[in-house]
Amino acid sequence: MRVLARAFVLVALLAGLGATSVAVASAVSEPVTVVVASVLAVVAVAGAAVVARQTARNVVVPLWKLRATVARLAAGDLAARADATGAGEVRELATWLNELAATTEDLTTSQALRLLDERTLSDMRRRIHSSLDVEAMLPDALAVVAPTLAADRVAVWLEDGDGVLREVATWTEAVARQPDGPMAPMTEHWLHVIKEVVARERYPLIVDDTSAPGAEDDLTAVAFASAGVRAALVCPLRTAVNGSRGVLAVHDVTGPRPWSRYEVALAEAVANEIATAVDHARAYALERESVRRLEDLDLEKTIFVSAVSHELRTPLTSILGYLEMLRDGDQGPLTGEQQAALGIVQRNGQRLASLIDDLLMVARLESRDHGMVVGDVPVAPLLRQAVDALGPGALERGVVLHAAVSDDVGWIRGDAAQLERVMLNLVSNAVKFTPAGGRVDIGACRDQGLVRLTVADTGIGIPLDEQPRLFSRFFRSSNAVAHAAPGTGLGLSIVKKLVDAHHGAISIESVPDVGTTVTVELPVSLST
Amino acid sequence: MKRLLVIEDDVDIRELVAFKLTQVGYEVEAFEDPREAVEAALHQPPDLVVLDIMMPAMSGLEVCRRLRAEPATAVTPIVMLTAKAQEADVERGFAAGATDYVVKPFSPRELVSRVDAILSRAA
Repeated sequence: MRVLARAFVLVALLAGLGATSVAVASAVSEPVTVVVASVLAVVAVAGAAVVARQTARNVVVPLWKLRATVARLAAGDLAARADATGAGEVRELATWLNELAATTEDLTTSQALRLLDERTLSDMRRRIHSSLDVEAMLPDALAVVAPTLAADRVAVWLEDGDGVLREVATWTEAVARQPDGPMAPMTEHWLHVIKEVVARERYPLIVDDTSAPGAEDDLTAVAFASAGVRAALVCPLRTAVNGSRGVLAVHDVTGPRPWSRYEVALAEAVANEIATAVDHARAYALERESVRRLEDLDLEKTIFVSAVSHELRTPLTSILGYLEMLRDGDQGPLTGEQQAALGIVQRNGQRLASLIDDLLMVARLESRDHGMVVGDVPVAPLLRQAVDALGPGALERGVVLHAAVSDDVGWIRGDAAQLERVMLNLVSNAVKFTPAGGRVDIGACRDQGLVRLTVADTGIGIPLDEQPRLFSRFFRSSNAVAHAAPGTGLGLSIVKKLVDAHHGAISIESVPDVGTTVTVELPVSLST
Repeated sequence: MKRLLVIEDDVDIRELVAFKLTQVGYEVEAFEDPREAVEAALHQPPDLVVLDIMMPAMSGLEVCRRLRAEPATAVTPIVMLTAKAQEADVERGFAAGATDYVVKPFSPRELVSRVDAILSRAA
């Protein structure tokens, strides 16, 4: 503005001079003086005109242009720039305006880039998490990222079990894919070099031009040059699982490439996403592998147990069979002592047989395939069958076995044979631990969606401190052992597993020397 | 006299079963090798077959199927001896054509009474 002020002062001065000259000439009224004055006036006016024209050229026109540039910028033309012409102050003004415009354009572009990055990243994330198979998902994910990075090729190299970097996925632009194109596969040697450099640097390696002067001193540049790559970005992938590492390599085949910081940041973000995805996939693969091993082991165990039980049953068949023959007197009469001794052998042989049965049952229940045959099982017959089967034995021992059940209790959804086993196990336990003169009452009632089965005895009970361990395998209560009651210690654990398999619940209340009540709740069948 | 075939690879069990069945008055031919037994059965169909299910040379299920496939032995009663008490195995036995089964370790007395029952039904 100082220029403008000076120009106006000059114009005013010259104009004043002109006017003064005319006035002086008029006052003096001398011809010479008049001429001089007139000449002066003309000169003054001409000077004023010249100054005005110069002002227009140096100040007004550039200002108009500046105004137009500002208008274009305001209208959104971020590439608009002012000409730095005219008077010094105006030029300065234009320079300032241009700087401001450049900053605005830069900011706006970076914002747009960031938005694009976000979109690219989220698209990639979606693809990368669409599968847990690393090698299947990566090419798809790389294809999303490559255009945003304007890359000719994007590759993921991961360390294998021996720590050697291997290419696991790649995306290649059609041009770069041509067989006679400039690209060549990276040799193992150079991959090793890159791995070493990445491990040392811990930051993205940026190669703008593998042919630039001095590039031969940069190992990374030399490595990429060997593969026909002109510019490259290398971002480390750090995975947590196995602590193994890898690299995301972005290639540009065609020319030197001053990678922008946005491109570097995007490549880093992509590398982090890939590292996370690789981690997930590997964790999943490990998990799957261990599940598979467990399943194999489970199957092996089941096969082993049934093979063992078969091998045990065969000799046991001979032992018990020949014993029976001896005790039947098939091989001649026995003395009373001989009979008693063989009776003990037989009892223990039978105990061994039921132990094998129970073990086989436990193994079967623990295997994934329960072999459950599910159907609708009526409740009342379950109880009556138990009474029919165990009533005579109970009577022999002087124990009253009584069932109170009506037919309208309903049905249970489950495996009939397994539910029978539950009832037989519980009732035979109750009878076994009830002294002569006692009684066992079994009942069933409906409670909304449940059928509640109860087996109550007036037996020896279970010591309080031993009750929490009742369902453990091979657990036998101290008083049961003291009473020399036969048993394997597997019965209740089998019952518990069977009830669990039926989505039911079992509970036991017991008072030593008073009695025990076992309650089993099972979901009622909905289809009846 | 009823003629029975006993097919069992374990010598002790084979002799035990043969002894008990002979004792109650049956004529018993015992075989260790199921292939020989099948041949004998086809040559001269017996009144009943006692058959072990787990044998190395040929499975009892296979023996059962072969006997059922031949007209001469298509309806001959077959009692299976099985070491497996699982429903699936029993089902397989019946599917192959078994008439009845006992689970090892079985009581020889019980086996004899089952055989008696089947033969009296058949008579």
